[in-house]
Amino acid sequence: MPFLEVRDVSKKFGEKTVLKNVSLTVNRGEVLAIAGPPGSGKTTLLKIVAGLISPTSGRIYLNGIDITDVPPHIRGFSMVFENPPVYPDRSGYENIAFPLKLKNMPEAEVRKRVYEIADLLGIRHVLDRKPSTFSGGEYQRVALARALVTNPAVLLLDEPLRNLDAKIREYMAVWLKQLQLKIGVTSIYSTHDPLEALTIGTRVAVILSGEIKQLGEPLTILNNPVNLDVDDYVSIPALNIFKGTAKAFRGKLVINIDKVSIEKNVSSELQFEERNVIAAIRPSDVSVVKTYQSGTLSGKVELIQYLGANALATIRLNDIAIRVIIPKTIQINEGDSIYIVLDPRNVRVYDVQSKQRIDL
Amino acid sequence: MKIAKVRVVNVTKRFGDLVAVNNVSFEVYEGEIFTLLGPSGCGKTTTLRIISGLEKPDLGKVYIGDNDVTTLPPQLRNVCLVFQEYAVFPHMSVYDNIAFGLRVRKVPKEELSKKVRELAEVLELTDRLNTKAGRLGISEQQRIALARCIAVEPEVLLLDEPLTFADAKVREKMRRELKKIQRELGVTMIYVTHDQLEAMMLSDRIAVMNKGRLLQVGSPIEIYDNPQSLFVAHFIGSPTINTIEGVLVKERGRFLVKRGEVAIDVSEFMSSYHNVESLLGRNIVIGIRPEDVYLDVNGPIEGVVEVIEVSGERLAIHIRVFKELVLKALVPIHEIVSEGERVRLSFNLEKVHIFDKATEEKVVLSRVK
Repeated sequence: MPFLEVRDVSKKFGEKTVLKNVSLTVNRGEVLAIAGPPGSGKTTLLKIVAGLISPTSGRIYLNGIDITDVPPHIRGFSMVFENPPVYPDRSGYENIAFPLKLKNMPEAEVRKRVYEIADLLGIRHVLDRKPSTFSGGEYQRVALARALVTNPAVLLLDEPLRNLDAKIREYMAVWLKQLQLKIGVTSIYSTHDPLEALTIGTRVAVILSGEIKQLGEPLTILNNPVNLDVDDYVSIPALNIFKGTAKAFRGKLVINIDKVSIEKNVSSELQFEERNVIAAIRPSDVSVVKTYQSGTLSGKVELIQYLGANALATIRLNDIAIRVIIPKTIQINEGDSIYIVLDPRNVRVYDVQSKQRIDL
Repeated sequence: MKIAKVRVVNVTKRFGDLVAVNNVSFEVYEGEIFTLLGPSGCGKTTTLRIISGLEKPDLGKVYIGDNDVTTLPPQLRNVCLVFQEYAVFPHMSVYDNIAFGLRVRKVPKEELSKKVRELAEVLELTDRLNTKAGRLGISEQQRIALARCIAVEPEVLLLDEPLTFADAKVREKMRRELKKIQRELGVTMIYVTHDQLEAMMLSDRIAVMNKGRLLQVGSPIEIYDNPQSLFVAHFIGSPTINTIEGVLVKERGRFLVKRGEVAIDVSEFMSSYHNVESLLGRNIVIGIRPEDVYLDVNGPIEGVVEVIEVSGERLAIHIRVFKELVLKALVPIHEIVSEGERVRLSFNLEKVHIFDKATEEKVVLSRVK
């Protein structure tokens, strides 16, 4: 039995459907990351799990017990928001101790718990300080400590790193993952950043326009997206997407994009007449060579953007532009001629209407 | 031949006791994208505001072209500033937004119309010209704000974290748009951001700032490959560079970096330099980028995979080597590795950086031929 279950939950605000038949389960001790762009319904979903708003239809179960109508403070969950309300006139200690004091816990026990959690989160040094002196990372950790100090059954984190500087965000994402591995609190973590979700989640649910499009382990989602929108969403740098045609026969899939033809081995059961498709390939799955070799496509470097270990180049081929990750060992300049190598295995093909993967 | 379009010379700015900008000098070349990069409070925005004329420096000079503009008010400097909040006029059409500055300057109607349409073409706003600006998405609003600035033909375009409010996916796309537009128009741009990846992807050259000081200026590749200080090494690059702190000692003919239980053998690296002996007994920090650490079954270092971080097109594997030391290695996304696994590592010794722990500056060693 799953620890927490969201079963067929929909939510409408007036005419607007924010969540559409969302079903998912969270296992005890795991982090389920909910990844989706702003406005996709992540916060609404978390608030429904927390009990802060009611679903229009559908149920929530904890340990098999229906808790849909149980008020939030009885559920024993904690939630950390994007801008957590840390009390500005109270010290770090008082902020963390606050939920325990609400429960009238004896002072000695409060002190013990606050120090324990502060040590675990590495924030003992802020206990005597006021929030105005906290750094962004410290502020979020105090909010997190306050959420954890009550030993919640489920921890709900709504974009907790969103307002931090890029560099601190990267550090905090890994830190959070390490913390979670240590304390094992069952968590739901929402973020607009697919890389953050794939790093932090034991499993990841990709939510787009209020619907869960794919739920699975991070590397499965990354390497085997079932849907064009999921592929597009998790791909950073941005996915190359081309309109084209394809036909499948005798274990071959022939894809035509612009003036380029690509042949890919597929299951012999896959057979269809020539039709319009969408082909997608990630910039990291395309490579380049500086001199012509048979099978390569000739192009011109339009733009170079450095990433650090390598660079992202936008290359123009006739009427299409393709983005390619180029290792720093290949030195190129904007305006150079270059040759592209496409590995057909890395080209994924999607149906134009349903956007579902068709080359499996 | 590179022509300096903007020169900032020995500029200092204080706010009360705080030295926001501390004796900063740099040149921005004509037609380049120059980025001021650093964490919150490093002085980058104040520097930009000094160039725009919104702030006056306490000391130092600012030149645009050949003119000393230090005391000129913003409106006489021929620069245009695009803010975090794009400040498009939401109830005006896109056309009127772009035309705004031209009307203020009483540009004749035909010329104005031609100009607006040309810019709309480059910025892909042509089919939006009659739409109210407030109804458009942030990517479009940003392009409108840019077009309105570019329309008045400023000598320099100044941008203060214009992508802050966009989400990760949109930001990546907008960086590309912005660079393409700059390439097409050739306008000189000074850009401010706290996001190192944004700076790397966008810029021709980057100036890294911290605590009011300018630490290093260079192309993205120079800054990344040859950081002159520990701060720059740390700040640039994602995942962050690995650092190993300790005292350099020589034991049984081997060079080791030791601290507590941490002991890393760096003999192979050190043996290719002359003046290594002078470093013995000193506190140093070794920096090695995650892409220069390899999973290698024959590697000299052993550890346990703790966290797998998805880092764009690769995986960053965090490996606990000692209780006090975690090293990151970048591997292809298709690599099969799991948390809890025991692995061995090796370094690309060519790519090791050494910093003095006390000064945090790069230690210059002379290479044995």
